[in-house]
Amino acid sequence: MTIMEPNAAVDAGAPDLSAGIETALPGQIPGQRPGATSPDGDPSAAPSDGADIATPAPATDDAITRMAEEAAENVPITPVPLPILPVRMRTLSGTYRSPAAGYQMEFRADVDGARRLGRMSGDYYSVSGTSTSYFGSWTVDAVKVTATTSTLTIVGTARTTWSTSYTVARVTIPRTTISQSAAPATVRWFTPSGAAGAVYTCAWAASSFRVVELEQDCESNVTPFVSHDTATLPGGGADRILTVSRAYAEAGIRMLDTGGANIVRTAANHLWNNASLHHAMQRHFSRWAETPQFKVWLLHAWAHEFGVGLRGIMFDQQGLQRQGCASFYQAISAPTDTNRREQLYVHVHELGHCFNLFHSFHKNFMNPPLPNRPGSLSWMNYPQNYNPGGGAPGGAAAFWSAFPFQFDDLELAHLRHGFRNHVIMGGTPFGTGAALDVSSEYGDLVVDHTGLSLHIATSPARPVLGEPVVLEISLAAEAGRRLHHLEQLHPKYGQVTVAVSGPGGEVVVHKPPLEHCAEPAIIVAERGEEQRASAYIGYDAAEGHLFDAPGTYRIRAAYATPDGDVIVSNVATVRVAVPHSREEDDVAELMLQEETGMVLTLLGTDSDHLARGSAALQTVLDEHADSPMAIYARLAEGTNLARPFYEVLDDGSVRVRERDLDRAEALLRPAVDASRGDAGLDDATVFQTLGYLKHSHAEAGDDAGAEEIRADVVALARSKGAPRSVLEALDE
Amino acid sequence: VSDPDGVALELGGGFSDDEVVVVVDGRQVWRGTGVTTNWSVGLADVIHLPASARTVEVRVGRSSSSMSLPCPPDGDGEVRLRVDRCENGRLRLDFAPAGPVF
Repeated sequence: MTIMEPNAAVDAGAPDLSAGIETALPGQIPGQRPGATSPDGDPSAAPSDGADIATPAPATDDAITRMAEEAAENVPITPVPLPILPVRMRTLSGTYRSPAAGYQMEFRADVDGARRLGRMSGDYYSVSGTSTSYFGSWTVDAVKVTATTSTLTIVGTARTTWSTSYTVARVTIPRTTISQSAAPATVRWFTPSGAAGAVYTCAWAASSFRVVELEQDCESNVTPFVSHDTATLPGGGADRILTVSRAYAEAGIRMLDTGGANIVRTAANHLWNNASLHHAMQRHFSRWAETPQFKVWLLHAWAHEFGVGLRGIMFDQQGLQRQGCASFYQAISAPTDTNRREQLYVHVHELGHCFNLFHSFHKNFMNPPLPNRPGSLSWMNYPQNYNPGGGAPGGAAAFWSAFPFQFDDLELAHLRHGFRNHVIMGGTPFGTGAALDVSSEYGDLVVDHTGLSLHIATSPARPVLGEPVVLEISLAAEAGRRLHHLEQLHPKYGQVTVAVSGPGGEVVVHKPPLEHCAEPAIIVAERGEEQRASAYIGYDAAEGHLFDAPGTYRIRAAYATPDGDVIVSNVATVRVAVPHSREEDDVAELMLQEETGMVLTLLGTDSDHLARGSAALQTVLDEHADSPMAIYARLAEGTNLARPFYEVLDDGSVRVRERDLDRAEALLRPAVDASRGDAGLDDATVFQTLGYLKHSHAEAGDDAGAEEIRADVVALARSKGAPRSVLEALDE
Repeated sequence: VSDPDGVALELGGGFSDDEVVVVVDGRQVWRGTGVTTNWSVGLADVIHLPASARTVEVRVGRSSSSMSLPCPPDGDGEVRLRVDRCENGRLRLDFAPAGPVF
């Protein structure tokens, strides 16, 4: 699977994945189609107030290089006042979108309008076949803006979620009056030295920077908040009537209230806890899904078991986080202005957590940490914690007297321009703001008409440190869809790729130590088709052991179909537990030796080069035979003995160690028998092991033994509910 | 769950998949594993302790912190304690600050 880099110019020799994306031709102004007139070149476009306007230089290569270098310097923004025009011009800040072909860009300009930040950002979506998935994000923290009466030009150097040398963005947007249609933004990429990259033409989409669907449900004994008139109490900022949606609109976020509020009936004196809130979210949030999406749920509730002081909570910290929050009215239900103000504050605040915002005084606990801002007049502070410093009065009274009902600028930058997965509900875990995550590595399928679904789980579900982690892969397909035979769903065939995010947020795209090149084995799905495979993913060609520390890991897989679609799996979460005894610790040390991982990958070997790994597994068998991990040592050693081992000697001759079926059976049978129930090895590995044993018996001329094993494995697979594809493969 | 005359112990900030033991007057009254702070409220859990509690000790691994409660309790209503885990792993146990949490 080749994924081109979206900022680079399309390579003429490569497949064009970016239909609809302009590329600069030699001698052509980047982004300009042959014969087109550059809006920057309009001689009538003299600025009306002259001096403060940066006059665009002729668009030569040198000029582009200079512009790129200027942007790369990251100098602070020097706002250039826009020319005074006789007619009212459109505000250009907002969202723009390129056509849905190849890479689709959603572009956000933030250079004018309310609380302009002088930033721009964008997200890429990869459109492949009938599926669209998120690819990555970029953001420019400081832009340089120049304007003529006809065009606004924005230049800056981007941070990106993927590796690219095209980091300088130059954006031009024709200026139009409010009576004219909004013009498209043209985003051109350059390297810092001025080499031209891809060009995207993005049509105007919205004046907001993001659109979020808000679903609100209400506990039966609660009268939910509607609005607060800020003029009713002393405070900072302009007087206005604020709803939750209005407060977010002021931040540039369009909250679409999806209506259809449920009344959640509860018993008298009901106290919520985080588990019951999560359950209620899954039950009542009609748009809930275990996938990142700009959809969020707010429950107006009465009380939480944490106590009457708890006004609200972003409780959703299971699975994909930040999709739901709750506000508690127990202490603030009386219809007073003070309570309405507090209700508004709590709602906006909790939803802020769903956007991955931390408290102003907890920013240092984020990943990566930021300095705390206890003096922030923000929705995300606690009024009682307000401390402007410098001896100025702090506390709740001082806070409310100055609070302008808004997020602070850094929070606003996150909401508007943070990398998508750090902002979107169900994206990176709460508090993780910059570390790459699995969900960044494999984007979420935004549109999927492939008729395929990929599901992964780990075996064991809760391993102890050192225990091999096996990925169970299940691919379901609608009838008629083309897909690979189950054997080729193993990552070593390259159709399925796996990303693992470790406890610290670091992401590894798993590189199997062995890669198989094979003719694609394509099948056409029948009704109810399901292909299942399993793969040991604990050892990586580049990183070694992937699960070598206790903690929580998140895993996601992607499958490239024979027809060019790419589908992504659910996120499987696996927690690697700390060894709880000296013996578990000793076994973990043996299993996590570097060569042990490779021996497990090979399912045993006689190779001298991996002698220490083989010896470690033998030690597990000899000294820790009752350990749950001994089953993996039996599997590896037994499988190895069930096949001959060929060693090429220095003189070119080949020495053969013949298969030893008696010893192989003595190791594999206990491993299989221990796995006939729910414990032990995963089902696919058990079936594969018995299948291997059957094959070895047949190869050794023991047809009766082979048949006995075939009958056993088919019966076992049936009893475990294996799909037809697996039964057929075992019955061959 | 809440006892207006009882003692509540907030397990506050800094907990991350910890095993926490709460001892009251020398007797273990609560033990939790996987204790993790929810930073949206700066709390991992709230433990309700007997109203008669006089000394409270919290243990996480080799760290512990304890405090004695006044007898009779100061003021009316629930006594609320809070333990935070500092970056160096140490525990800080004290009365919980006043004010709402959200």
